[in-house]
Amino acid sequence: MRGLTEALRELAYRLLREGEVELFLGYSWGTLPLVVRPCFATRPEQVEAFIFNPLCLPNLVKYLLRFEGRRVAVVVKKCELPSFRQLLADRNLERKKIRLVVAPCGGLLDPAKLQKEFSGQPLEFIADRGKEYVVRVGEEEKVLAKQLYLYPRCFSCPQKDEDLEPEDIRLEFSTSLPSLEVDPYAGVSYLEERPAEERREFWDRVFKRCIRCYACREVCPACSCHECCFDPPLPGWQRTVDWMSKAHWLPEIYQYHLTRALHVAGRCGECGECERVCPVKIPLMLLVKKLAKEIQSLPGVEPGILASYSPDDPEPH
Amino acid sequence: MDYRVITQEKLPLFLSALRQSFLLAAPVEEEGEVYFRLLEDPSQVYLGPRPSRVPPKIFFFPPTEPLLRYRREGEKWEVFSAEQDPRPLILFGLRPCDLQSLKALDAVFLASPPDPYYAARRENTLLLGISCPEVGPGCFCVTYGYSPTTSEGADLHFTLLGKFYLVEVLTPRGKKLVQDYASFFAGETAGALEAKQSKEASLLAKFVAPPQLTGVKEKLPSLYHDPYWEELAWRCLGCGICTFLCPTCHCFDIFDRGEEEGERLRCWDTCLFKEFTLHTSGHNPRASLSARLRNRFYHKLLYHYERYGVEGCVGCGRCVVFCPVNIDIREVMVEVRRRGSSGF
Repeated sequence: MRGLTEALRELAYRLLREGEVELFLGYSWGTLPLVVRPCFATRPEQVEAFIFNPLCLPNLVKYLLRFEGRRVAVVVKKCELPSFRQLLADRNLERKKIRLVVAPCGGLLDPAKLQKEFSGQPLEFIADRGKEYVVRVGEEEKVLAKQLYLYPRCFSCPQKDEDLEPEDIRLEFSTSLPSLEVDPYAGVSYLEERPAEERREFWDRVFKRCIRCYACREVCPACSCHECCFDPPLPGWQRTVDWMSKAHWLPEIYQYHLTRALHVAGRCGECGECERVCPVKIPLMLLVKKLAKEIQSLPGVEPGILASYSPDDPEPH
Repeated sequence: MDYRVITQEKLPLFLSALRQSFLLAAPVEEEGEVYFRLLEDPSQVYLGPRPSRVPPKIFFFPPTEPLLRYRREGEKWEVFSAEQDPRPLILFGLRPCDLQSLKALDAVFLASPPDPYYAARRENTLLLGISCPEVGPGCFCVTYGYSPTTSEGADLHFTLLGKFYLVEVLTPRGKKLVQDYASFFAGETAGALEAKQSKEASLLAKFVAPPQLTGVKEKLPSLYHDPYWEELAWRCLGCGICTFLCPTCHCFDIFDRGEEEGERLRCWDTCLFKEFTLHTSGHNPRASLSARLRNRFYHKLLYHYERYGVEGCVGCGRCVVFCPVNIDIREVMVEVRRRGSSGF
């Protein structure tokens, strides 16, 4: 898969050199084994850091907000297009300044599952054979069955990249992910069938772990408000009694997570970043999926439609 | 120093016995990840290579701590002191970095006048350390001059050597504990100390290019206006993971919960949140994320040491491993040494 990385670097080099974009947003290897991180290039000589492979987990579209008004190219996977479109609508971003670079993705791999298998050894990705990836570990070539190592969100891969603009770029590379026929609401349905008491115990247990770090909010492309209701207008000690403290107590924690889930319902692109970044592994996508399932149960309504947006809206904000 | 040994089989029995007289907390696995929890079943203790996600500072500086209770009667306010659990606590399974981190916290909370809440908890807690079985991918304790087997700061320290643990008895309180529970321990086995040394050497050999501390403190002041911080902040999400999971971070905010009757709470806070430094006037001296991120690294690598003479980072690697966008303090240290200059 070196060819894909090479193509990406060439593209970034060309776009930066010819001044078509001021910033190219992609991925590079991180400092830990199997960890890929966001990478920003503003000069052609920086493109050598870029890579693309099945460990490129982060959804980069929210970074666009930090560079509003500048010409930016951003690498996206198909599954991130819904979150991109929502962000574009919510924040009325100038579409013509954004070049999407759609990377061909045959499914991401879960670093946690790989870590158990390869305990810290670096992987080199060689080929995508549809149902499996071929990788090199040290001197050896190995075959990784996607069914075993696939990143959770890829089981419901949308497999389509419609609504691109002519200026957007599809990188050509042979990748494929066979249809996996997984019920996206399986986890929700399972939980729904549990007795109320068991559900309460489950949510109490996982929410008790919350450290109120707000990483789920910071990373979420649907959480794009200029000001968030959970950002206090002043530090607590400067105020008197307030509606929401920073206490790690269940009422506060429920209030935060349920408010956020309802706030993004209908706008959430289900990129799964909230769950990926959570340092205490709260299964936040269960909340998201539950709301999506509820919305889908309405006749003639699909998730996302509650926030439909028209570019001709006379009052865009 | 005094030494004992305890077999692997007897360790859970010892922990069970401790539970009769103490609250006992140790790392356990919860949904596949490691956390410190009050222990109900000592066979659940997690002794594997991964450190706890949330550091054991929660037992001394809890995320939410009632400082006092209040009630209004007409024009009069009544104030009551908050009560602490008086039962003595034993923390088992503290890593050498966890033990070192208490030095940094003690410097803050025990300096005169000592924080009574923290001081009472420190006084009421016995520390049972354990040597690390492995070197994790984010670990850099060696940078700070200690190792994955360093026992400093513990009352008792356990190192697994084959089928038994070498137990270092480091304090009078530790000594009393092994005397009170003498039946679980045996005298030192010949060669155990040498075995610990060779274990330490084999663990130390596993560190690949840990960052060097030389020059970091000296060079940091010259980099305050360097564009590096802004470039680094491009990637930063601005969440609180690195600070909340840091074993030495200790910032807090104060909240009153309840109008006529309620509690005054001390809650964890983080310098990465924008309201952290917001003044009542509306001015914010750290309005940008890059200024906040820079402050975090200056605090970890310079300010804490300047203020207390104790390192503000212990190299546990939690911020490295759990940062969702891989902002790595080790890399920051390398960059500071590369870019900065000493003196002005």
